[in-house]
Amino acid sequence: MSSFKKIFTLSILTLTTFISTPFSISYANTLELTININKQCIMCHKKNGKMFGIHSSNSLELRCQNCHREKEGHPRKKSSLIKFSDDSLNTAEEQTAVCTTCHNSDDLIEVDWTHAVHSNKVNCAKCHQLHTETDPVIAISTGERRQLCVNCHESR
Amino acid sequence: MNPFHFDSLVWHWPIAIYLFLAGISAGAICFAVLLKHFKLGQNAYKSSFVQAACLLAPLAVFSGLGILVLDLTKPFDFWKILVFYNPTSIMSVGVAVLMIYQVALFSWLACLFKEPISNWCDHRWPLIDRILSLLDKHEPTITGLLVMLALSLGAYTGFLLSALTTFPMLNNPVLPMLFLVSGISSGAAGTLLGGLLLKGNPDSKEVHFIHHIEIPIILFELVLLFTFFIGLIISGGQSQAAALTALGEGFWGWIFWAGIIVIGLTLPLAFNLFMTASSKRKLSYVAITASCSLLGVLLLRNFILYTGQMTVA
Amino acid sequence: MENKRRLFLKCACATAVGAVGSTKLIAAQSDTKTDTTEAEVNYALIHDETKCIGCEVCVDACRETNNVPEGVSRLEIVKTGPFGEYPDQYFSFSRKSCQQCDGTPCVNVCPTGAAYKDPKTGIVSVDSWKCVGCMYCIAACPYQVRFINPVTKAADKCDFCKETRLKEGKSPACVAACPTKALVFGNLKDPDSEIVKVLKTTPNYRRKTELGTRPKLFRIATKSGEIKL
Repeated sequence: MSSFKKIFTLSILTLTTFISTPFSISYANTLELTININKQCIMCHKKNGKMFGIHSSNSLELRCQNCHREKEGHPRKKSSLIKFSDDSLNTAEEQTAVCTTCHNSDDLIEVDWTHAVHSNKVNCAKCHQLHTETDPVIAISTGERRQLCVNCHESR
Repeated sequence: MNPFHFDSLVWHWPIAIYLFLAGISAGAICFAVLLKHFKLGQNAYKSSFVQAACLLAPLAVFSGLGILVLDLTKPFDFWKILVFYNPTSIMSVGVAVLMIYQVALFSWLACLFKEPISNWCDHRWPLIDRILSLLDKHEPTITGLLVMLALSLGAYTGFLLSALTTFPMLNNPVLPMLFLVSGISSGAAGTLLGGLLLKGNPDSKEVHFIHHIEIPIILFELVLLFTFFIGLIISGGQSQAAALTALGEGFWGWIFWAGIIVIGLTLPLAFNLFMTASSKRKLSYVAITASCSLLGVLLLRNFILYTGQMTVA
Repeated sequence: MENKRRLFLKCACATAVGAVGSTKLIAAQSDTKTDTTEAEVNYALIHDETKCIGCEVCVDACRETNNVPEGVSRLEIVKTGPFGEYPDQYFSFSRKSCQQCDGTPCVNVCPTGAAYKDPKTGIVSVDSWKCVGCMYCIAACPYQVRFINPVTKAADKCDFCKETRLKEGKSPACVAACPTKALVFGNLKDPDSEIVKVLKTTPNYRRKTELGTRPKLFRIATKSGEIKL
């Protein structure tokens, strides 16, 4: 059983390596990621729950619950789980608050000024993806980056 | 702020050198004219100081123009400045002045050296004799024109910068006058130094004459510098900011106070007064005074050019 | 002595003639400058800073349309800020490009006439062939928007896409690209144009008018972060 699991993970990992940009750091290849052995979540979320991004690094000692909160009654009864996306039940402000518990707003603004004007209006997942091996918005070209602004701000 | 590299900097040191050389040329030829008319007369060409001035004036103006052309982004297109003119452009007017100045300069030099030239030619080329006699007939006109053009050239070096409304420190009515006067004093210093190199007597009447003029010129230069900066400071706003940045602490502050005020003006003034009082001139005294003066003017050009471009209106 | 007096008189006469001549020339020059006020078209631009989001799509569009090499730029958006307390912060954006002055410091200083104001459109332009690269115009521009194009070695700057899109009857690249319609381009001489309507109804400002530049880049001010004294 475990050998089958290993082959399965490996094949997924090679797949993601091919898809991801050439200069990405392959954490997933080199590390046994403890976050993905989180039985409480992965039992069901084998497909959509796996985590390969920089936040999955073992040294960070993050669990799914650190960001998504405790499962409580999930999936059948009431829970306070957070979904990070546009169709989340939580407001953008509630979603960004989770990220900014660790990420200092000043640092974010220094890296990209747009953080200053969007943090209470747009959820982080609108631009960032943490589960993929690399966050696609990091290596984006300036042209694509500017198009992102246009996508929302275009006046018709 | 790096003293030689900052965002608003457009013109670098080659322009300062060019302004320096144009000033020297204008100043040197003025002194050659003065020496001829007031001290030496027809034998002026025999004086090593006049010879030095006559060598310095064309050489300085040529090398200055050379530097200016090399500093263009398209040096091989420099002829377009000579072909196309824009009467509102100080640079264009200045180029015209420079061209006529060179004609007047060589005409006057021909008048000055007509004896050695005709001796050397020995009537072999009648054309040259005719040109010389024609120039000789009009010598007063040529001299008057030359002095006017030389003064225009000296003032032009200042007008070139003072036309820039972008920079409140450069856009200053005193600047052309300051550059003209400092150009004349650099011409005096260049003439003295060149004359000494050509084995001139450091206690000759030429040196006495030049030193006699140099003292009021240095005093006037100090007054102009004072007016220049006080004028800026009491104008307030960005003019004041520009003056205070220039004179305050930092690299250019040192250049101004130590290089221009002390070495360039105070030391030559003190030496001149001392030499006038002791009425005996030694080669080393004259040479050191002239070198200080020259260095001071060169520093002044660079100081004004760089600090002038630091503060934008 | 006689000679000297004559010399002095000659000098004085020459100076007088020279002075009269030069003032005549300058007067003639200022006559030609009023030409554009009689032309039918005088293009101008409004940058509505309340609508600008600082995305810099205009910068890319300009570079692409006018083949502006990397490292230099005809158009920049200058950001200031953030103002206010996180997370309610905002920036203000200012357009840095040729202000298309009516009283042109760059044209006045250009020794060859390479910098000129197009009499038909009122657009300040550069004849890159005539330009020798003395950089006098770059120093003379109070808005510091001129640069040496590393390819042509001539001075370069925004010309409202005069040689590219305007020729095809289109609006400048930045205006067309702006996602928030923060840029309004048009003819000041046409009383029915959008630009004239906006200028007449909206408070606007221009930069460094005290230098006599009469710029034609109008700006509509956004709420600024602080009151500067």
